[in-house]
Amino acid sequence: MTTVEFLPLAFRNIRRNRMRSMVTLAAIAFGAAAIILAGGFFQDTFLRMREGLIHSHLGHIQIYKRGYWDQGTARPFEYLIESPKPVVEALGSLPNVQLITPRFSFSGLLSTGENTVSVMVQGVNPDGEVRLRRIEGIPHADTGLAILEGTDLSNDDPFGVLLGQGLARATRLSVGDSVIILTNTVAGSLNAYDFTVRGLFASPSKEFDDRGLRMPLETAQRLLRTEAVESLIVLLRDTRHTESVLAQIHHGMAETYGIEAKAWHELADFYNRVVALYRRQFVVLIAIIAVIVVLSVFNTVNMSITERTREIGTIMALGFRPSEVRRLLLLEGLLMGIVGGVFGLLLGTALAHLLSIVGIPMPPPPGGTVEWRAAIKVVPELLLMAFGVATLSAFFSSWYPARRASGLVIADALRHT
Amino acid sequence: MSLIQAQSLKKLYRLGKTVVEALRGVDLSIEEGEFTALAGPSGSGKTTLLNLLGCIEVPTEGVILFDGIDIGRLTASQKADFRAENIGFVFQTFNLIPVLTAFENVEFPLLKKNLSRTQRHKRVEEALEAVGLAQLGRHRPDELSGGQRQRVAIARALVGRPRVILADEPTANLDRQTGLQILEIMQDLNQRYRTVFVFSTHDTMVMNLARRLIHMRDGRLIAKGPQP
Ligand SMILES: Nc1ncnc2c1ncn2[C@@H]1O[C@H](COP(=O)(O)OP(=O)(O)OP(=O)(O)O)[C@@H](O)[C@H]1O
Ligand SMILES: [Mg+2]
Repeated sequence: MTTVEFLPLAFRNIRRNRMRSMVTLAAIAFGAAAIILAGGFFQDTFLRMREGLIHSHLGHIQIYKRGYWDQGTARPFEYLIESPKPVVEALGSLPNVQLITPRFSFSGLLSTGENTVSVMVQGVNPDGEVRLRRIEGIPHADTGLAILEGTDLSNDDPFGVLLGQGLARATRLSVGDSVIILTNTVAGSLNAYDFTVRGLFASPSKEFDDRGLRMPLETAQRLLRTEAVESLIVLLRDTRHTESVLAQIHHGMAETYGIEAKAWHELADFYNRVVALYRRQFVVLIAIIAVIVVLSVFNTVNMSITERTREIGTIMALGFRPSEVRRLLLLEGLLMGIVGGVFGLLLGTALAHLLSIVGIPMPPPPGGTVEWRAAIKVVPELLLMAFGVATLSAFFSSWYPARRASGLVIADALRHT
Repeated sequence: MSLIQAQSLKKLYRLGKTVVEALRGVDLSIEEGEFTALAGPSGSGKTTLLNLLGCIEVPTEGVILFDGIDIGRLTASQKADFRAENIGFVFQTFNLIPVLTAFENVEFPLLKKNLSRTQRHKRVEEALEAVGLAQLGRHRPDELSGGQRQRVAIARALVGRPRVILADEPTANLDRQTGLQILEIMQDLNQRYRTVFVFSTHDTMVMNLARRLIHMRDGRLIAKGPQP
């Protein structure tokens, strides 16, 4: 006796009470669709957060002078890349590297005349940053760091700076205003220049939004009186290449040029914590959905088995073993799960597409400042998980009713009306 | 040796505090080729006795030997296999599986056996032929009359080529005319295949068609008709 031979009967038993089966199938399908939507939403959030960070601040890989991460925080100017050119060339020859752009971050004082605040200054290459912040392939997202007002940095305007919108608000500065920036040079003396606010930016990092200021790298180097750069930001063609490129840098290059490399995720502590938290929430959600599916399938199978008590007694009288009857009933549950699961996949993917086209308006994420539109990112693992939860919970909720039915005294089952 | 030998069968049912004695000590032998009716008033224990003989209920006391095998000692799975091999059932209420066609209903018990599809279909056609329903295989039970349904049920009991077919009031839900037709089919099969039939009935005309008549009262056999 193979289970396959029970298939036609199992199928027709499901179709027997159409209304009831439909309701159960709907419960399974909605459960699977809910998993796809919720999971896809989380996936999308992760993706946006990740790409937002990469395309505004982190790049995929950051290159520093060796020792920077251990000692550089206390004495940053002692760990500079003095001659970036050969390093840039070597990095540029690696496969999948799209862009290498230099930066110099340091702290300084910004004075408006009325008041003075401490700021995080970033000297950047304007062209490099334009390319870095371009995001491709994510709906409703095109830039990592957004210019809100005014215009972007330009090498033609060496003393035009960009302010984070939080910083601008706190200092009541707007485009066109003049400021003075004062800092220690690399050699330890003081230096200050006059600047004009050229534009305001919004950053996915609230900290940088509230304290950050950007100026052209060459201006920063003049201000600090150095030729060196602090770091090189490496952008890859795709985030998934991060590990392989990182390995290539660690292997040989790091030694040759006296540098060290950090992957984006080693620097995205906040992102990592958000992902861990969401993952846990997702597990709870899946458990809740599984319980709902189990309860609803359990109810249907239990009812349909009770109604068919005499029929089941007959099947056993005809010579089928309790285990064979159990298999038939489990098969019914499994089939229900498979059919419901398939509907769920269709429903879930369709809704995901629809919502992704429209975009879900979202408030700024924790630690961020920009309102955004979420989409639903459906990945294969998610479909598999939704289908798995649908079929397994349907299967296991038939377990008890099937056991109970197969344990009946046949004569009693036959007397059942 | 008899095909079936039942010795001092007792069956008690406990309903809360009261105990119903459905069988109070039944000794019975069934021989090869028998065509036997169980008669008796309602509650006399006919159904209970058939259930015990058919191995779908366990006696409180007593032994049943089927071809020398003590069926009381079999496990649930062994009993199932034993029934598939040796026993066919016909029920008062037909008990066909409503979602299967007549053909599929008859085929169903064969799913247990190691037969190819063609072999199965050949047997089903044979069985339907034997009950005169070769044309109606594609119909669902609810598209058939009571008599036709019972004939499908007989074909289903027959198809596994059991040695005994037990029929609990096979004609009770049919009009007299149809009931007699069913009995004729059973007689015919009994003669053709030497399948043993044991059936219970209230109907005197039906019981008079039996070659052996067993009367029951209060869980006991009270008279035995002539041996075949
Ligand atoms: N499952 C059960 N639980 C309790 N009592 C039962 C059960 N089955 C049968 N009985 C009782 O056992 C006795 C014999 O019942 P049984 O069904 O064998 O009689 P029967 O001769 O088949 O009657 P009928 O002609 O009405 O079908 C009756 O008193 C009945 O009430
Ligand atoms: Mg009865």
